[in-house]
Order: sequence, then structure tokens, then C-alpha cells
Amino acid sequence: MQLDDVGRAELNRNLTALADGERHAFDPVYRTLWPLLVRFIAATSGDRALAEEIAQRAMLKILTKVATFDPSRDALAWSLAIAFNEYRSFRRKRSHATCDLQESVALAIPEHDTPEAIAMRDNLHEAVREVLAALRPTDREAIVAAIHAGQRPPVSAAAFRKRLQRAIANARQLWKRHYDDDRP
Amino acid sequence: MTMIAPDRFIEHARRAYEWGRLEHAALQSSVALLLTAISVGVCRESAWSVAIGASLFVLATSLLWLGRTAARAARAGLRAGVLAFAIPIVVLHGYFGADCSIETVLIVNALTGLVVGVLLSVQAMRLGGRCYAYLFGAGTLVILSGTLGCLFFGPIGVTGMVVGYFVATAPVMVYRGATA
Repeated sequence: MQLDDVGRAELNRNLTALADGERHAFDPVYRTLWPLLVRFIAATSGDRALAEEIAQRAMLKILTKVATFDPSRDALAWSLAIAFNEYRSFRRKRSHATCDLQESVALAIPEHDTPEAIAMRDNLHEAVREVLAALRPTDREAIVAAIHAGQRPPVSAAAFRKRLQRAIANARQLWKRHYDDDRP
Repeated sequence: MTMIAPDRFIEHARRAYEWGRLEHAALQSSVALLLTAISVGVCRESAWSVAIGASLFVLATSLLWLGRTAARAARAGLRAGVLAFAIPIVVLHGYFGADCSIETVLIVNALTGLVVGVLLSVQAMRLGGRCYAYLFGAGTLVILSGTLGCLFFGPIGVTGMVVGYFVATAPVMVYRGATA
């Protein structure tokens, strides 16, 4: 659905009326905005099912805030800005939830020696070994020296810190490439 | 939040709209709470201040939530109400103090009502047929705000303000009635 200049002007008029308390402007605003929100979020996220869910949140947010709508602003731009913020906030929340889940999984690795715990630990050790093996020798040397507080390469403390930083960054990249995340 | 069934979503949307309006209205009316707090401190009639302040807050919130002419009246009434509240307090408490007589209270409050009434009448003239509702809504808020400031002086102060407001707005109402 495209919104031409006439439709846009009508949306401006209806949203301004709704902001002023004209309840009869509710249905026209709802009917005009809903398909636009779904299309906009579907285009942004590339996921039609997700688009409908976020469009619902965006619609509720728009209607909650409509009393503060400034009639000098463009109604469509104002609505889509709210929808985009909703999409961003959804993505942020989902990303936090994923991180929390992975952290909780990592923390939940059992210390005791049940067959599951042993298998999980072995898998994790194997994955770390693979990543370390794929590193350059200087990077591997720096990480191993830092973990085990062993003999450091014959460089200054500042140079070692820098080398370690680079080595960790490389290790993270390798981990991400193999396991699609930078958290072991 | 999970997705709401499309046929039920429109009801959620309507509720969100009404709640949003109510929240915004309460926020805009919060000036009534400030006036109440000052009135409690200045007028030493806490129970009356709280009762009148609460009525002012509820009425202003309701008018703002309703929207259209009612909301315009509420916004104007709250602005003018601050004036109707402040003038008696500044003049009678700050200037006259203990030397304040009944005549002084009556004159100051009547003049305050008159000034506020003229200001609101000028705005009401632009509203055409809806000016009655506008003047009535705004006037009620003005009188309640003024009462918060006049509690110390009793009913005489409030009467003065009501008379002043009525004298200022009556010509506009008569004129609008004649030209309608």
C-alpha cells in the first residue's frame, strides 16, 4: 500500500484530530497506519511474522503517545519513527536475552562428574583447543602465558599487553567464525 | 509481549489510546497539586485545601481527557487559575498582611475575577457557539484555583472572585446568545 500526498495529508488531519480528542478519527488512523507499519517493519526486519508483532507494539505506542502529537510535524514520519524505535528496542532486548541465555548456559556447566557434565566440559575444552591451535604462534604464546602466568615473551610489559589484546581479539574472531558468538 | 489476535487487537488499541490520553491529562493537571501544596502551606486549612485541590485535579484531568473544547477550556482554565490563585496570595498575604479588611479582600478578589474573566472571554470569542462550554469549564477551574488561594479569607474572597468573573464573562455570553 502506497501513501500518496492526499493520503498523507488525510493522515495528518486525522492524527491531529485524534490528538485533539476526536474519537471518530480513531478508525481512519488505525486503518491507514496498520498496513504501513507492517510493511515498514517487514522491510526493515525482513520477517513478515515478526513485523506483525512489532507493528502491534508500535501501534499501541503511537496511540498511547498520540495526545502529545505536534500537528506541525508530519504524522507519517512521526509514526514510523516510533515504529523504528520499537523495532530497535525489540532487537536490543532479544540480543540481551540471547546473551543472558548463553551466559546462563555457560554458568550452568556443572562442576560434578556426571556423564553430561564431563561431555560438556570435554566439548568446551576441545573447542578452546581448536581455536588456540588455529591462532598464530605469537598469539597463542601470549594467551597461554597470560592464563597460566607462565614465562612471558622477552618484550616490555606494555608491548605484552598490546600483544595479548591483539591475541584475544583474534581468538574471538576465530571463535565467532566457528561457533557464531564471541563468548566461550 | 506476545502477539494479540488481530480481531481483539483493535480493542487493545482503543484502550491504549484512552490510557495515553488519561496519563497525559493527569500530567498536565499536576499544576493543581502544586497549587494545593502551596495552599496547605499558606492558608492553614489543610483539609479544605486538599479537598478543593483534589476536585481541581480530577476536573482538570477529566476535561483534558475528554479533549476538544473541554481540553482547550481546561488548559486555559489552569493557566488563568494560576493567576487567580497567585494574585490574592501575593497581594493579600504579601502586601496587606494583618491589615487586610473584608472590603480589601472583596475588591482584590473581584478584580482578579474580572481580569481573568476578560482574558478568557477574549479567547472564547474565537470559539463561536462553543464559547459557553469553554467559559463554564475554564471558569470552574479558575474559581477552584482562586478558592485554593482565598481559603484563608473564607467565603467572602471566593464570592468576590465569582462575581468578578461573572461580570467579565456575561457580556460575551449575552453577545454570543444574541448572534447565534
